[in-house]
Amino acid sequence: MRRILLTIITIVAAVLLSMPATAQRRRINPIENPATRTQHINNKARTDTLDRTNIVEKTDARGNIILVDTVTGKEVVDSTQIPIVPPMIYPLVYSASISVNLWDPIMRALGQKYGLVEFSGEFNMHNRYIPVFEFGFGQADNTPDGNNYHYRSPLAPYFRIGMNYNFLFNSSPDYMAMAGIRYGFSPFSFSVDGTNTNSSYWQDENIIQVPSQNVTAGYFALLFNLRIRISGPVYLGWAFSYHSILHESKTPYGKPWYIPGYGTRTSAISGAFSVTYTLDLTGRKKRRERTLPGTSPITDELPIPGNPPVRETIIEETEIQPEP
Amino acid sequence: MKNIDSRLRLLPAIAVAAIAAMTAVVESCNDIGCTDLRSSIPFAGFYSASTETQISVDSLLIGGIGAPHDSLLTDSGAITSSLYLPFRSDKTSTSFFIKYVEKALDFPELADTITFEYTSTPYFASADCGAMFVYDITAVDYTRHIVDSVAITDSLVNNFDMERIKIFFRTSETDDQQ
Repeated sequence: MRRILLTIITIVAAVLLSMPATAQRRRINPIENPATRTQHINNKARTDTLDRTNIVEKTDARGNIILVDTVTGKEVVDSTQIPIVPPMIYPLVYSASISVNLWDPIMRALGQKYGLVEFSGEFNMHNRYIPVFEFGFGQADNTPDGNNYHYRSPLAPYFRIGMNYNFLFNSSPDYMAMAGIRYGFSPFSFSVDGTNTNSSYWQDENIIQVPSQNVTAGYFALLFNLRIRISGPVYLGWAFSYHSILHESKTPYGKPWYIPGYGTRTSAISGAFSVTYTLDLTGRKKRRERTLPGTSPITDELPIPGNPPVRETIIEETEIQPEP
Repeated sequence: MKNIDSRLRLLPAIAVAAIAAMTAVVESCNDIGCTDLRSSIPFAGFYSASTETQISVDSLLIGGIGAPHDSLLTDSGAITSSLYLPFRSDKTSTSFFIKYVEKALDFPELADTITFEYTSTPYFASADCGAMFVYDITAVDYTRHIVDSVAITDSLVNNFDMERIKIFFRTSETDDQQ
């Protein structure tokens, strides 16, 4: 009995002595230093890095180049061989164009009583953003059937500035589908004369002479433009535009019927048919080659439409799941 | 080269077709026509002086003083509640007479006259409506036999088809409606 009691006391004493040590271990904070903080990065880098001495290439069903580490069995896609489409493949200074709008001359030949001719200049940036400056001359001389007045607007200039956006900016420049915006204005004058008014009741016959009025009118236009290359640097273009008058001078004797560059004031829609000559501003750079370490030669020639260029970057490995 | 040749062969047809289509679209979108009058004619309405509501009359003869062949603006027996009163564009005033042919009122001394004085200005309204004179009524004179009063609601008379003159008749002394 005494021995049993002594054994129990010994066990209890041993347990009590061991408890503070356990509690103290639980209160220990993990030691953190710069090495431990970056250890997971180092571990990941170690596992992500391929030893190029053990790499073989194979092509998967999608045509991707797969780099296989023959030691670890790890497979990654060679991202340098994945063709990518850069935001803009054409250079900033790409081309300049001059155009003549043949819409009004053609329409005048078909009986239109207004309009003359228009020229425009463009600067093509990246084959995408195309600032435009347009100028032309307008004139109107109209004695409409069923209305016995004679409207005259002498030759007057007009100007438009704006920009086109080419939706096919990374495609062949032979075809362009563009949306554009313009602001145009024109200082001009108009008069109406030789007009008789007949009151059927009073049977008076008077000459109405609306004196010449000077007007400056401004307007905006939204347009959609298609352009195709016909031969060499020559393009043909068709355009539809919606326009609206923004401001015009106050005229006490009535508003003008024709605004140079705008058309008739009731015409919300107008068209354009233009012939364009385009000048290449890329300088015809000589082809040169350069080689990056571990890569095949990369040519610095201008991109060929339809052939996506190769990106010039260091390997960016993307881990994929190994095939079962 | 072959593609360019084929494009060049099709070019005239493409260009003509595109221009024709564009012309049709542009012309159809821009053809509005004259939605207002082709001349500036004041429009007058007939009202009861007692109720100030519009009335219809069937026994009035209205015409311009000095009109060729004494032509009338209304036919006897025609029921009307409004009327166009054309101004003379080469004068600064125009006078109209109103004769009552109802039996009890058919006396020359009961006929009323209304004279409008105005200035006229040449005005180009639009390509479809044409050029015309617009008038600015400066004064109105009238006799008050059966006519009670004349009101000008808008002194500027252009080719907008709206009522600018109100002629109030004495209706309470005879009938509610003449």
